[in-house]
Amino acid sequence: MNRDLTTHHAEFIKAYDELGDALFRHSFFRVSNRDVALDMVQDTFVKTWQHVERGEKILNLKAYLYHVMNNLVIDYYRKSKSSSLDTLLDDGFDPSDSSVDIEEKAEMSLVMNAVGKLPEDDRQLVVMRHVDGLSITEIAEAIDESENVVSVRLHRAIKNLKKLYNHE
Amino acid sequence: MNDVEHIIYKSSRRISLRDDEKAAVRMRLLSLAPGASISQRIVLPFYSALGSFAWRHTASFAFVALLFFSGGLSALADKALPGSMLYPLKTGINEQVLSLFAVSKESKVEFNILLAQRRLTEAELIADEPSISPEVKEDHLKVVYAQVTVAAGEEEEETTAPVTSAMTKMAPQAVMMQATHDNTTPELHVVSLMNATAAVEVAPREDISNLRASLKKLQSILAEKEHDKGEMRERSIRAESKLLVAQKKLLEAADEKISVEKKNQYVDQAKEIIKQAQLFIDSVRQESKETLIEAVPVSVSDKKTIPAVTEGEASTTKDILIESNVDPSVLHN
Repeated sequence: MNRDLTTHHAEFIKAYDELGDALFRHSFFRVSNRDVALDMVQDTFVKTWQHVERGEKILNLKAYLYHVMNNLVIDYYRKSKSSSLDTLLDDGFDPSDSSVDIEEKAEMSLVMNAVGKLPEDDRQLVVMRHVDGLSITEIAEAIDESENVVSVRLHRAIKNLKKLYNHE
Repeated sequence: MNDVEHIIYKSSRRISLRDDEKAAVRMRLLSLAPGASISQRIVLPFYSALGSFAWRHTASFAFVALLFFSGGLSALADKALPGSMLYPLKTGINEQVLSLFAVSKESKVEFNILLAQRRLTEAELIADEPSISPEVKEDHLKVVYAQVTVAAGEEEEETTAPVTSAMTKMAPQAVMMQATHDNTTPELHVVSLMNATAAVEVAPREDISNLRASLKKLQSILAEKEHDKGEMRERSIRAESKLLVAQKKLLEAADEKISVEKKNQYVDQAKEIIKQAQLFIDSVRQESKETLIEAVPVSVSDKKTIPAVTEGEASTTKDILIESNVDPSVLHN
């Protein structure tokens, strides 16, 4: 048995323990469907591990995982051609958490509505930055753009988001 | 961080994997470990379930475990048929482990359908196998029916009803059940149901082959119809499930050993279930923008009243089959 691969696998499982929830959150915000989001989390890790097994190097595992998930989200939209947060917005934001009071829930619905109206590219950046808490460098690596481009686009996306939110 | 960004952050913290979801995905990822085989994946549930047995039968358990851990037994068990020593490993362990990988609602439905198809194939394989006792065959038919019912989500219907059909009925019924879950439309299922019912007494192998061929052809057509998913697909499955139960009721009603009263009861139940299926089919038809296949009407007439049957008279099974455009003679010799 390949000892290096075994070590990598242990690190890989550790990464799942640490990042599973965050990736699920990300996919949920992008596709607004719990089951689809769950499948995406699993597929993301499986595809990443297959990459490792082929002997490919991954310099930043976290960024690579988001990169894979982003591709899965793009594939999902190509297939379904549905808008990401439409269902969520139609049904109202429901985090399935009874501790959320009505006022807070309404506030969340408004901001989710605004996020849903952003163009997909802008939404992606907002989710990566403010849902996933990724750094500009990590986002740049995940979407194959320069840090400068990411900073400018993110700034513009947040500006648009605020406008949309204030008009709700 | 200003308000909007803070609210997004706060909202997102409310969303996380449930413990069971997290564990299921983790299990799947652990199975990808270098050198892991399906047999290794099932060590824990196997061991914990049969722990006490193992202590009492240490030597034989060690031998079995040796084989099992090496992957050979697990692979052999996958090919086992009902009545075989390895069959419990196949259904009780291998498949239970595989079920852990079906984490989402959709994949669980797919997995249950896969299991139903497996049971159907087994039923066909053992149907003409003289070394397998009739009791095992009958028991397996019950398992087939239960699994198909689970796959269809038909929880409200009874799943452990006695199976009264003779072994000659098994193959065509199995094919009909296969039809139920091969992504066919409810209308197609009506055809499959009637064809399979018609084949009950004769059970020629050609009919089975023909049905399988038709199903494969329709599967390929349906594979192109991406829109037949979601709610519509669910309704189709519900309709198919209803028709499946109705078909079973008709088969039970055709049993000559049961009383006329019981026959009437089964036929009434079948009629009611077919009506329910009709509602599902109608709703699917209304929403479907394109017709996948030429629709075959299910004629359950409200105008025609099924006459009460007394001893010596024709069974109402005949009446309902006439309404359903099926030659009732196939059920009565």
